[in-house]
Amino acid sequence: MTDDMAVGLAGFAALFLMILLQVPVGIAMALVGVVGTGILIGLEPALALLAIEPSAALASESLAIIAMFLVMGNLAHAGGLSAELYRLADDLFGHLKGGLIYATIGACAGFGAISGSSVATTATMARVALSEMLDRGYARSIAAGAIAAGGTLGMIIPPSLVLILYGVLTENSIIALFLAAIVPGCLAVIFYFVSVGVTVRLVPALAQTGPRKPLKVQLTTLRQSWGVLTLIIAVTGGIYGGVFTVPETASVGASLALLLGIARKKLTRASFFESLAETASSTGMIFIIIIGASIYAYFATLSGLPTAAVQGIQSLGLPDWALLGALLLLYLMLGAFFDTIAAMVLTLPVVYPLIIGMGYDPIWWGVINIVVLELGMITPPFGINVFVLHGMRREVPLGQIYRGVVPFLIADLLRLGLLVSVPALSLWLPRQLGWL
Amino acid sequence: MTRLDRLNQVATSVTHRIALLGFTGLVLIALLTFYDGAARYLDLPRVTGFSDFGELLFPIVIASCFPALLIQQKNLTIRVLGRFAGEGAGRWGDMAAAFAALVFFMLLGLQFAQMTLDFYSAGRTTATIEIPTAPFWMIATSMLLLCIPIQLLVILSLLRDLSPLRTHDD
Repeated sequence: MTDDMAVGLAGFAALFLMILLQVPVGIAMALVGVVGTGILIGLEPALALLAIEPSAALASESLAIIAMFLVMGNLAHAGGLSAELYRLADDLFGHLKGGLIYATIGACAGFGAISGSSVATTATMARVALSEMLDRGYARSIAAGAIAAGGTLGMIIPPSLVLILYGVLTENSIIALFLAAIVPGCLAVIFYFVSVGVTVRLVPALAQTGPRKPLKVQLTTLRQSWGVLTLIIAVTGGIYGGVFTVPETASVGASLALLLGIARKKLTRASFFESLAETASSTGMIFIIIIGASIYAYFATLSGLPTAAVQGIQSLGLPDWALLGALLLLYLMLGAFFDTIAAMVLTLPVVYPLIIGMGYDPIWWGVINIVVLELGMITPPFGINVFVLHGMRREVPLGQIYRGVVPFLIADLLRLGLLVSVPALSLWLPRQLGWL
Repeated sequence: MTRLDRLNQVATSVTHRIALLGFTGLVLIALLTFYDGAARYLDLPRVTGFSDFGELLFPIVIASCFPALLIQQKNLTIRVLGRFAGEGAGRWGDMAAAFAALVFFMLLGLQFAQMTLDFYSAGRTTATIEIPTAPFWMIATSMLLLCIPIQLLVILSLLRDLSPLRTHDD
């Protein structure tokens, strides 16, 4: 091991120590990156990094998309679009046994298409759907579990903020990543539906059956949902139809969410500013991580540690499937303890070169990475979505939420297995559309 | 209400307004981008040097949310220390983290100030319509420099909470 690599290793250990000491993840990465780079090539270039990397991040149009999509999601919620989506899903599925759970999953998928964030989707649906399910006699465990698990759809269904971040940090096409996530996103919804169906059949007391809404009522609700449908069509059609670039689509989405809220008199001055404050807070948090990750990645590359780690692992001669299995297990554990974005950016400098070195497609890995981290968001002992939900509705104990997510965890594990075994499920669409 | 509480209140209000101003700017950029994208298809006049505006305004928008983020202490933190070693250890961890954040923003602010001065003396402009970039970076840098007193305030508040005579709920 060279001296540089020893510094890299020490930096890695220092990073985890700082994170355990509750130093914010982005700041820990930035400080370790600067100090480490200072040791390797001198203080002056190391300090210069603190201007070069952050200024590039702040002025980046690709990263500004994240803020735009956050504006869109928050304004859409403030403008009542998430409630509209839930009402529509309720009219379509409410008459089935466990119909409100299907409606919640469906609304989570729809809201995921305009929010891009799992935590935002969970928080939104906790406000919109939980009381409704509890009032109609659904068990607290399955109701809360459906929201916590449904929230994870926000991360995989494009436009996904984590996919954008992965694309920017690894310099892969964001559109190719979005396209690759469509089939896995749809599969997630299908697997969740099947899981709900099996669960309510096995334990009928968990869920209720609502009255079937007449076609006329369903059509009226559909007509009244034009706002949210317009937004979803504009965003998905804008990106995949090639009408707008991704940054333009994010701006179109944010503008439409604002205009729809104003036109339908649902967005007040107070809720507008509240949405912006919420967006500012999330954006600041994400950008600190991006800045820290870019500085740390520079240091890690300079130390030669990622290359050495890749060569070391490859020299073990393990079959690829064993390495892949070990990586997935690692991410499952990381996802259960760490925030999704933190887990991804912390490991990317080492794992990404390893995946490329093994000959896997970076777009496919982007999707797998998100799916496995998604699982971590509802896995004990932490699982951020579970905590978000519990934080908002204290009357639902953590234990009940964890029990409620079990059927969805099983569905997620099965889907992960399928996506890993059949890469074409992710890569077929971007290939067909000429993005790979 | 103590002087520190009043200071905290003022700082929270000021940083909140700065963030709102910044993100109202972002909404305006979104509307302008929407117009420019639609103008391409509707044969309307395009915004000249549109990408230049983004290059200049995005840093201000993003930097505007950092002071509010610090005062609200909403940075992404993994809170395992308090969970496993008790609330006291968690509070000391928060203190160490706050100092680390102060060092980071001091270094960041100073490097940005140096960079802005370099842009100013070099007369750096945007590529298409040649707008001088230094004034815009100066605003973004001011936001980062504002983070230093804000973080000091956070540290003072944490120190007060660490005092053995006070409980967390005081």
